[in-house]
Amino acid sequence: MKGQGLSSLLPFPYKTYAERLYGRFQDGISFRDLFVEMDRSFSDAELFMSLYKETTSGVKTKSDLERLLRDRYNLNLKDICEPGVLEVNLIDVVRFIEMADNRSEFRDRKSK
Amino acid sequence: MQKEFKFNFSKVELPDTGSVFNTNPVLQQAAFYTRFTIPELEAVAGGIDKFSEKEVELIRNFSNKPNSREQYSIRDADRNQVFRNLGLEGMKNWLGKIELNPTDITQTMLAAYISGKAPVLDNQSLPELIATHSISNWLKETGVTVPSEAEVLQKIRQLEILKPFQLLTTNFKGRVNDLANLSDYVDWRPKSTVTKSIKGWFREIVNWHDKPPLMITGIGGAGKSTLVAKFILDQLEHNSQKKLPFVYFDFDKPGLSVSNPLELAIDALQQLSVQFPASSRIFNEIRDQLQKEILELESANQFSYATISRGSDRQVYYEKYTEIYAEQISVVDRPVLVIFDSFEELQYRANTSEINALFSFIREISEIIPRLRPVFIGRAEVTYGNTRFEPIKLDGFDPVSAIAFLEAKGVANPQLGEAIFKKVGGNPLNLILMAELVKREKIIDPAQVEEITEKMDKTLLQELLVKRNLEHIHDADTARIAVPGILVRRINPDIIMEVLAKPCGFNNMNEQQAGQIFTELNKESFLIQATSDGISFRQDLRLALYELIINSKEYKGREIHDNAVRYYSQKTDPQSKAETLYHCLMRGDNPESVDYSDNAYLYLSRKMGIRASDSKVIQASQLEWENYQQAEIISIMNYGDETTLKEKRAELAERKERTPNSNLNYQEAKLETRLANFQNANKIIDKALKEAPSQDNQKIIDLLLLRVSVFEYQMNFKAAFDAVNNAPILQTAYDYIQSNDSSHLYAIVEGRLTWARLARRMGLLLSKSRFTRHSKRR
Repeated sequence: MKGQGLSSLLPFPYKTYAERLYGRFQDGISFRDLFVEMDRSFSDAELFMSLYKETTSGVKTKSDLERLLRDRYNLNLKDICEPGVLEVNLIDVVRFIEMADNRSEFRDRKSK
Repeated sequence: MQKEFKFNFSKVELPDTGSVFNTNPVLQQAAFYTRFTIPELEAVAGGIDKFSEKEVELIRNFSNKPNSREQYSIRDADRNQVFRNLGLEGMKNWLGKIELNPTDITQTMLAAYISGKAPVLDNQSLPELIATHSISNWLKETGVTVPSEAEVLQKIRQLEILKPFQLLTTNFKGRVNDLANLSDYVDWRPKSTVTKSIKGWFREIVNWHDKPPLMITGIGGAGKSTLVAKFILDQLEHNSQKKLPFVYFDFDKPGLSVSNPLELAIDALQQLSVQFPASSRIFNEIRDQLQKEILELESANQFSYATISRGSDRQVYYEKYTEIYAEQISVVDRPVLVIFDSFEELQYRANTSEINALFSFIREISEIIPRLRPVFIGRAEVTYGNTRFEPIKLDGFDPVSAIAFLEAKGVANPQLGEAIFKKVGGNPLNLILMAELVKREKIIDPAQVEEITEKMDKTLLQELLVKRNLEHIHDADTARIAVPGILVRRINPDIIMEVLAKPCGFNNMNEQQAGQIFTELNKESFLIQATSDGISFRQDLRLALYELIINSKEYKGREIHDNAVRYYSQKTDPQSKAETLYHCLMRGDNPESVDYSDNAYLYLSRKMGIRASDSKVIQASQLEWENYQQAEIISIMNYGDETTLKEKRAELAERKERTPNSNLNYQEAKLETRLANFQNANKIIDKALKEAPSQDNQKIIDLLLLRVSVFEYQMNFKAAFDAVNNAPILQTAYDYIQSNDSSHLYAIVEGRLTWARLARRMGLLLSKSRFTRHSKRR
């Protein structure tokens, strides 16, 4: 599966993460590379919960969540998850943040 | 031009440079003419027969490049210089001596401005405004009062918006009741009846939720767009001080997309800015910001999967702009009419999710502007989920509008029109066919209408009228193709040659002959209608003639359908696929044989991403209904939002029955998960897992993954991890990939990621055998 579009086989939010990291055509990237990269970014329950609390502290509505993604990552909610209620979308966003915050590519974008 | 003004140009010393050119009388006189040839100018310049070379050169030097008729026009800046030097009195003096061409609007308007008699901008026609636009440049700083270029441009844009409406309503008459209904809906002018007036008081303060959007329906040619055009123009006439804001979208125009409704908002703001110059700064400000933000996001996220905007991302804009412009929004003191014309085109072009996004968008905007009045214009009544419409159905024309319609079709004599209406009624197709016949047979006496129609069987009126019209087509080949060729929807030379030629008796038709017939057909307006992708036979005519053609021994209708199926099935574009299915069904194929499951209508809807009407969905067989709903949920997951998820859930709840091992189970459980109804999701998953055949790995993996995901959304990582551990199949992605077994790859990849994520959540090291280097974090 080397060559192109591995991310098309990934679920949200990892496909967005992979494409921003490697571009649409992930030349030379294999599933092994992708998995290694992603495995490294997953947090344990405690860290995930603290990230969740941190994220939810300023988010009361779906619009707040949209604004957070737009301000920090220049993304819309639809770019990282399927539609859903706030409770579910919050988890989707935290899953994205746990990956993205470990990467300079995303931090750079945040500072823009 | 007349030779009244005599001036001895021969004695004038011509300057060599442009510095004093504006004192030269040749140039001064030329400046008053919009365009002129040298001989024409010589003819009105008294005292000489011919300009000297120097004089001609002078004109050339200060003119734009001559057009193909060798006409010159003095450049705007030089003309302005001439007029500035002349001053108001000087210009008046010249006007007294020369005669301007009264048919040249620019010259007439120029004279009117100089003499202070120009009409105000509001009273100028479009050609007058265009002239004023030039004149505003010519007379700048000359002492003559002229409107600024910006003012004129603004007014021109306003009239250009109205121009299509004016063209549509040139011959409009009648339709009094329909106009009154439209007016009552918009709630703008006094109600047509006292009852409606009382009801209207309530309606003024309610929005979309209580007041459904209006849907004007009617057969093609019934005058739906014209009715709305007339209504808009009437509002402008009656309320010149307080205008009704309106926004007009025509989905017949290519390029108008609804995938991102915010782009429609940008278009709407542009239209409102032109209509309300005083507020244009605000409209343009919002428009520019919105445009910039959308573009920025688009360019940053070229990988975007869900291209259709969601309610939640639009909400951010609403909140931002309603906060910034709270004051302006609070003073919106009138309804805003939003027209969506040719809605059937949008239904054809857009998928369900896009149309849902449009409805959601209108609903959202109506929360901000409660007196938003959406009006949809389409050929058939439609329902979309929970969206209900207030209908106005335009059947036939009433007598007054029918006579006006006939007049537009070339039947100028109202008595003749009246006689036609009496005989064939207000059906637009009948009127078109009769108007065509009246022209072709040069009928002038109403009694002749009586004679023609008397002999006709009323049940076959349209067929007979068509036949009689066909007799007048000069080219016999074209007439032979037209009927029965009307059985096909799309028409082009290729279709004439490949589909129609043989059944119509042409054994060796070549491309040239097909091209000629196509050109001739194109001229027969009673047969042909323009569509967004070319031309087609008139749908109403096909419907009227179908039975006649298909049952007649004279025509080989069945063979046409056979040829069309053969022709289109070789093509792969969606439109050709649709045509294949259409002709299969029309020739009476068993739906099963054309890859249908239980219900052809729903099958087509699902295959083509078209939203089926509620009644069709309700009538569908259980299996087809489930397949349809499954496709709908997938589409919502890709392009929908929370609202559409909830609407779908409510729809599913209305039909509780499911077939054993239904494919809908998974999607339904996923929908419940996305709505955080975790208990329901688990119930469905349990049931589905029980029903799933043990060998159906794909289904089992999907359901197990969904169960894990339900635990994760509840932040019960232990239960989630246990669920993964109890299903080893979810952990084995790498093995599958290595063994090149790429079936179910998506689920396996997801399974692998889920397993790794949960292992992390539980603080475990990932196995060395599975791409390792990991250590416990923190």
